[in-house]
Amino acid sequence: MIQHNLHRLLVKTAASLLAVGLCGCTEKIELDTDNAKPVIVIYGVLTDVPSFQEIEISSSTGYFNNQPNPKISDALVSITAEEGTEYTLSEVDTLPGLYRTSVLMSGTPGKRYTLNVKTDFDGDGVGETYTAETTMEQKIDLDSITVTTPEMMGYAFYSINMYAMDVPNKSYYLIRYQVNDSVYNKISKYIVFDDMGIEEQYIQAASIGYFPDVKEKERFTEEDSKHLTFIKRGDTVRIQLCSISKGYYNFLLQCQKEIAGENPFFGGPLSNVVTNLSKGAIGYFGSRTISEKQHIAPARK
Amino acid sequence: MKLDHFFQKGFLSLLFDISTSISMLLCVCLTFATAKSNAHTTVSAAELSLNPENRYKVSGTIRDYQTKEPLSSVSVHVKELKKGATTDKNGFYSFALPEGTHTFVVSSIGYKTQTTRISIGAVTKRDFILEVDTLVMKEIVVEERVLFKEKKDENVTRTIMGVEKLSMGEIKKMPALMGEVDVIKAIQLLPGVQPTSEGSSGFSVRGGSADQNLILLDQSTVYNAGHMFGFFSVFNNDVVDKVQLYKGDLPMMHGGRLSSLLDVQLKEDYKGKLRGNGGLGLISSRLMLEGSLGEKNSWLISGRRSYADLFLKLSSDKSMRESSIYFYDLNAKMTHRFSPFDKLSMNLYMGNDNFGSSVARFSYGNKVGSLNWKHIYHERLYSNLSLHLTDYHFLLQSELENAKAKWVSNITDLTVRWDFVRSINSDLVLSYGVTSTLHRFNPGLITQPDYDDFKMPVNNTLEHSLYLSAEQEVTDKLTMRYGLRWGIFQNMGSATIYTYDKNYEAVDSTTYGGGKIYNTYHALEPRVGVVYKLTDQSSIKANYTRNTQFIQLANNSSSGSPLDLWFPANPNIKPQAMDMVSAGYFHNFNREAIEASVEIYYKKMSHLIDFADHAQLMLNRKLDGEIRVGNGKAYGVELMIRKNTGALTGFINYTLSRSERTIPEINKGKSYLSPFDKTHSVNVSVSYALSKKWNFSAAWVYSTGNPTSYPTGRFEVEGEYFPIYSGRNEYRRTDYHRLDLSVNYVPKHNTKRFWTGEWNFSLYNAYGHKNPWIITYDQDTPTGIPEANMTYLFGVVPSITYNFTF
Repeated sequence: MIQHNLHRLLVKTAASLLAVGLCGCTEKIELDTDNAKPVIVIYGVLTDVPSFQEIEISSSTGYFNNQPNPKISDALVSITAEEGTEYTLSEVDTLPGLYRTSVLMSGTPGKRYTLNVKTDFDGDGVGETYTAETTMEQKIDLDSITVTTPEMMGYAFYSINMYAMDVPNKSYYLIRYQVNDSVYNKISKYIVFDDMGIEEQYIQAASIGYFPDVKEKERFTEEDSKHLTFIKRGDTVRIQLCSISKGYYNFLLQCQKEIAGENPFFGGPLSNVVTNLSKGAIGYFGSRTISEKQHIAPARK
Repeated sequence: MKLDHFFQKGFLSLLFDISTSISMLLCVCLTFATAKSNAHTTVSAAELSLNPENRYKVSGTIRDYQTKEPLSSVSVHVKELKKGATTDKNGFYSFALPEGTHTFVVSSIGYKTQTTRISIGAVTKRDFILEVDTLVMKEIVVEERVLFKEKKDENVTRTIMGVEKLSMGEIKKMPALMGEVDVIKAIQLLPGVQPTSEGSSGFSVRGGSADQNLILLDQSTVYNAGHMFGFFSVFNNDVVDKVQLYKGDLPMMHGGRLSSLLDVQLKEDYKGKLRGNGGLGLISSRLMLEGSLGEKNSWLISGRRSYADLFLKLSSDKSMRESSIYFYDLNAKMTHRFSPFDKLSMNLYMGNDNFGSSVARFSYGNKVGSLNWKHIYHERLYSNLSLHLTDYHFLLQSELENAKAKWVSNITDLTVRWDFVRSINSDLVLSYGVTSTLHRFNPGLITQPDYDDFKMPVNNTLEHSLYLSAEQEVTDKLTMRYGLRWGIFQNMGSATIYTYDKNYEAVDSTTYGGGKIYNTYHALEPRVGVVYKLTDQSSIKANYTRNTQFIQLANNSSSGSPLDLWFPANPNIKPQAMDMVSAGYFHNFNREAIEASVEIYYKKMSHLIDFADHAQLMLNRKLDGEIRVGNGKAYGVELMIRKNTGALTGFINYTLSRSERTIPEINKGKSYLSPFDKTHSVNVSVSYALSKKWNFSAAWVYSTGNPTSYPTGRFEVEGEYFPIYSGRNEYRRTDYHRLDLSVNYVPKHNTKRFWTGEWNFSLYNAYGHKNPWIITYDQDTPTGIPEANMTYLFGVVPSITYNFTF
């Protein structure tokens, strides 16, 4: 939590310096890079809510390749629970590369699940089996959320604040949010933090993010607006608080760090994102427990 | 949020945009600042040999015409005999001459040369007064060398290799970014030295990282030498006398870093009427005053502050008025001479950067203080006893609603050192001493109003050293320097040390009580250097040096950051070590007017520290688990030609080098390039004095692009693309090059005037080359396919500065 807050601050401070003192001009360039040999990419996150659980399978491609990443069809996909129950996932007809359980399935906190994907990715006529395991974390209950209306630096914001009790043991949080019907379910929009500084304490009205009021929209450049989520009075804000494993937490943080390339002051050397899949596959098989609350954005005071 | 979006003057930049500071007054009241004088006298060997038959001792003092100060390092040359001497610290020279009439040529950089015929017939005392040579600007190089005799031909005779010297006069003439004359930017033009990133105060010496440089301000450590995220250095050019950079072969009295020592020496004490200088620039303004109090005391005080924010105080926008962005430096120095043999001086430095708004504050800075007592026992022995206190801190505070927090971190050193220099005879000079430092590392205390404090454990360590070094003229042609430094490093409780399994997961821990020494490392560092003079103008040199580093920075960003967290060696982390051999050929032309050198070096580093991929370095109680250790090597050739006198002065250098690391858990164990590896590097710095009024300078920099990683593949998750890298640092950015120009104009040139002003106009990056600073990727494109973007920091940056002296 602390790091999440401090990092936000730092990046802003450095950015303001650059914006003020230096030219800091950005322009598009062409990079001539090799294209690495494609590898299989498997991603799926099991939840504790009864649902058709999904796994997506695709192939990596050259970074600047102008075609979308190829989807991998006809794989044999299954998830096996610790006690031996096996769930088969079959490819969705209209969405190649996306596999779903045929029955409603929910994970149980504390239990281990194994993913098996069998496919002939390397095209040698013999199928390979890629596996990964995840153990579902204990659920953390989101007691409530509030939406407040701070003014900061002359701008009107909505702050979404959470209330929850941090559990004993190290915990890792993932927050996904939804405003009305827009679900922000991309990794770059996730809010990810650990319990540093709030260990076993009651999380009291901690802001998980500041969202500008829609009335401020015209004060932003188009480029900035693209990356911001605006909220207006009367919007329904829905928050999912998820408890995730350390491995999945690292995967998400690393994805967020790597997605945009170099970060001069606070980024380390560019590196590959970790995976928990076997045999050279990349991606992640994770799990999350979900506790959900919603709130209506109030009128500004 | 992507950083490049902040570059545009969008909303987020406004959050912290420039505006007023109210703390200026507070800061001034709070502080004073630093620097310790490294004070040793050079006992000239010539002085010690007295006259045999029909030879007469000639001696005297050489002073500045205007200030009446004694001048050191002035060359007194007897033309007929091709014999000479150099004045010592007190402006005193002496030698023995046969009877007869001789032509004395007295010269020093920055002064008009005097030629006088003198008859020698009895013990002769002869003083000289030198006038400033206005053509060469007012560059009074008050040289004071620590261990070794400083001579005009030291390029050829000096036993230490890889030493680069710049006088403040030289630095001031170089074009500077935004007109801020900067010693660190100047040394980045020297062979084997590179900035860690564009515009940064961090520098890499022979491929090493920035934390492998020991930076001393009058012998006191400065942990972070940058202002404004490193774009300006903390050294105020008004008070700096000169800088010396030792590229690996460190003087025996110093150690503790693998790559280099940057020795920044402040002005010596001044005895005379109140005088000062200062300047008004685009970024900051400066004022320095110095004078004496009675015959025995002298003082100096100097300040510098950036002031862009003061203008924005007038802003109509409340949030703008509430924010601040500025830095300042304060230096103060007091000297008291108890007797001709005892000098006590006190130095203080304090500098700070402040970025603030109504919702956040970020500040950081150094505080350095020292007390020195220099004592001359007799003409062959003197010592310097000193006490140093150094602190670097940063503070990050959020006042955001529902996210209030404050993080304070610092590193504090308390050092005592006692150094001696003893001349055994004219051929042998010994230097020896002892140092002891207490380091206190406080990685962070975080306070949050609604939660318990989060406290990182404070680490205490002791670092001691004992050294003995000899400089010996074995024959007329052969001079040797040899010595040994014994470093001792001790970890002190209270502390909890974790043990890690092969996956770097903490499996066990041991807790040690307060004050208990629970781990000790010893390091023996032999250093040897040999100079063989081929002729009076040329020599070959070779040396071997071993350096050990016990503390390092937990930072893996390319440009460094003000969030400096130093951490010590401990039972999990062995001290880093470096062995370097180098050799070179040195040649002076035209009576030392032109110096040329070729140096070749090879260095091997062991227990070299790098960090795991995606390492969590901040606020991590198990930081040791993020460290990966391996070996490194670096080698290269450095060519330098330099012209010191005449209307056209400057240097040109070329470096061919390579630096790589091999660490089992990084890059799958394959060797990878150091982020600071640059195959080719060329620097040209020239200055031309057209007349007394006009001086033109130019600097051109070229280097191979920095190694970096470009993605060779991408994978897709939830509709977003993420990069895949084939390895670390397998690509390079495009080559870097830049031309800077400046003009210095002195409207009324008269040294006898009370006030002399001069204008400096400069252009940074004169032909506007777009040098990539960072490469980022954007997939919010019309096609949905990622694009690469290059951010460059500087276009053409013009600036104007007014400097004055009175």
